Amino acid sequence: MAASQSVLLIGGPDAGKTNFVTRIWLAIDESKGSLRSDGLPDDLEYVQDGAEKLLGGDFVARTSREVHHHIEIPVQASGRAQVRHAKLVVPDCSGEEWMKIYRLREWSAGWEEAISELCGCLLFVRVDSDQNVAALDWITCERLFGTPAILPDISGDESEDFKPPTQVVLTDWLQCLRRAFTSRVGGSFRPRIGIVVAAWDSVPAEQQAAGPEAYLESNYPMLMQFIRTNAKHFNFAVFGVSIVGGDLENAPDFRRDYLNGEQDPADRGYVWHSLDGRLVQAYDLTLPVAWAMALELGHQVPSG
Amino acid sequence: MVMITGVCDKSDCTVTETGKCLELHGELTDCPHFGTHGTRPLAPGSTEVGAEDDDESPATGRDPDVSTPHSPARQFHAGIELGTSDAAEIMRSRYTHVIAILGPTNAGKTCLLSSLYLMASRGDLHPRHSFAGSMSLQGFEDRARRLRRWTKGVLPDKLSEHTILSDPRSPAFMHLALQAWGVQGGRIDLLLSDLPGEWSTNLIDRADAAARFAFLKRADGIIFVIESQRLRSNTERHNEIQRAKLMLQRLAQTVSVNRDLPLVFLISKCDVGGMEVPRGFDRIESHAVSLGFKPVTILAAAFSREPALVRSGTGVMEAVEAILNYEIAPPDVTPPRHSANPTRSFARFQLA
Repeated sequence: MAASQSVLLIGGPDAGKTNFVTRIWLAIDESKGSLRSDGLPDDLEYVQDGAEKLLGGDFVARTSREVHHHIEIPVQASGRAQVRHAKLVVPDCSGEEWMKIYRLREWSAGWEEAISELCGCLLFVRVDSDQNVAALDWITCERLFGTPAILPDISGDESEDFKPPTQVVLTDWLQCLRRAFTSRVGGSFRPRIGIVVAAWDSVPAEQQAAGPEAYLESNYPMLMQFIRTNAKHFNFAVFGVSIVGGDLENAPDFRRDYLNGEQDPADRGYVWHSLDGRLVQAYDLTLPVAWAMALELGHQVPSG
Repeated sequence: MVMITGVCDKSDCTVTETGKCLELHGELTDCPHFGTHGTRPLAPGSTEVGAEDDDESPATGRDPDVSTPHSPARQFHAGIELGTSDAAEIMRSRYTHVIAILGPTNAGKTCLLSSLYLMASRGDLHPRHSFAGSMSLQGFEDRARRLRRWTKGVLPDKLSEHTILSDPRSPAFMHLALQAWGVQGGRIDLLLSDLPGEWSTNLIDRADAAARFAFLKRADGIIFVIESQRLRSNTERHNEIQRAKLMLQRLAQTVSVNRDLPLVFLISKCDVGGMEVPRGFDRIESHAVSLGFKPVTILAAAFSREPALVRSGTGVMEAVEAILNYEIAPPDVTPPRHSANPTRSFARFQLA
């Protein structure tokens, strides 16, 4: 019987989770990557709705706040010696739901039970999302706020508008996950946490060449330092992911080529990673999920 | 700060933080989404409500029960600050450096914490240190934005034991983990006290306030923050010196602080005075030496008003490092002499 492995997609609003899972479904259905189809899912409606939008030249709209989905996709992966069968279980919920976990410092029994040795995580941050919140820096502090010694009192209304910096929220989620894995699985277990930098095509070419870790270093230094200093507690990998290779919303020429060009839309997109120690651009969109499931590059499926 | 105990099922309702119901119910008992479940204060890491008793094997990889996404099964650390029992959780798992930050109101204690956090947040502790985690991230962020302030009026008279999300700012600890590069082991966990300035004032005025400072027996060092501008003011200087001397005397004689405990004088807001030791400070320093302390003095500018001349954060990490690197002087070594006009006593402290 195929082991059910779950991959938690974690990220705030507009982080790219829903478009990613839609594109993963297309890639698995095409069976050209690390993860291949092992039969049709029982419930196709959610991913198929998204796939129709994506194949029609539009990104999938953000998941509604109240809507929670879980997607189960039978997959197979070719290891070094054998084919492994697994069921990919991907819960998808709105970014607001994850922000609520950050704000209220608690999560539900559902999330709790998802934490197991068969659970990997993908943490999303989308390049240039208007939902990203920059960290407070010296210049902001000096120019906008004055020095703390002379800051005026913050009124209640202003404090309600405060949104925590993206890197603070992402780092906090990682610390919460560590607590949960320690409690549920054990302190020595190193969960696989893939950091997905979505909309990687939006990153200027010269920065792309430096790789997604360098991007995080520049834009989310605290998060990247946390990743570098906590290798003992997590198995981290960083991916730069472009699900279609361009911007369907704001680049009409790209969209025209996407719909009318020689290349099949389901073959578009790419992943930058350094899984084997050197930065490469791969065209296997399933790779981050396969890595989170320990199914990539011949890794064995944990017995379940 | 509004304090509401309970949980709202509406994903975007912030009633517990703001007191304002998303559906504008005047009484929360009228709101069908609000309940009082899930507010149990828990220590970091201790957390489940029934989850451990659930016979479902965690290895089955069940997908989350998305039909009941709002029933809390785990409560995470509050993140705002750490009470004594919260701090003990960290101290039980690994050695933790406890640093007491003392000083009167407006001396710059919160600026020191915020400046240290900003350096960690911006990656500015590189290359000697890197950020490695914090159980009080939200608290640091709120302090840096001045969103978490002491409640006006009555302050708590003891360290908080356990913090929960709805707590107002309370005397407690901030946690910051750093990775020190080039050092064996490398990870450094800091617990930095966050105390109201009134505590220092009260200790001067009344010996019975000493009980609040019992945690100093476990401390790895003290950062005594002295505001340079008060020493530069002709009308404030002499009072400031006298109160600092009394504070030191209380620490030595009433709290019975070990004189070998690293003591750092952090002179704050020095960017305004050209990064020079203010007049009269030598009297404070020599008094500390006469009491048996071996103080180190550091000039600091947590948030520089002259960033082109003095970098923000100057002196902040140096104060922490002065405690981490402190070497206890053997009995036959004479404590370093103070100078009437020391430029940077941290450098002078290097023992032969």
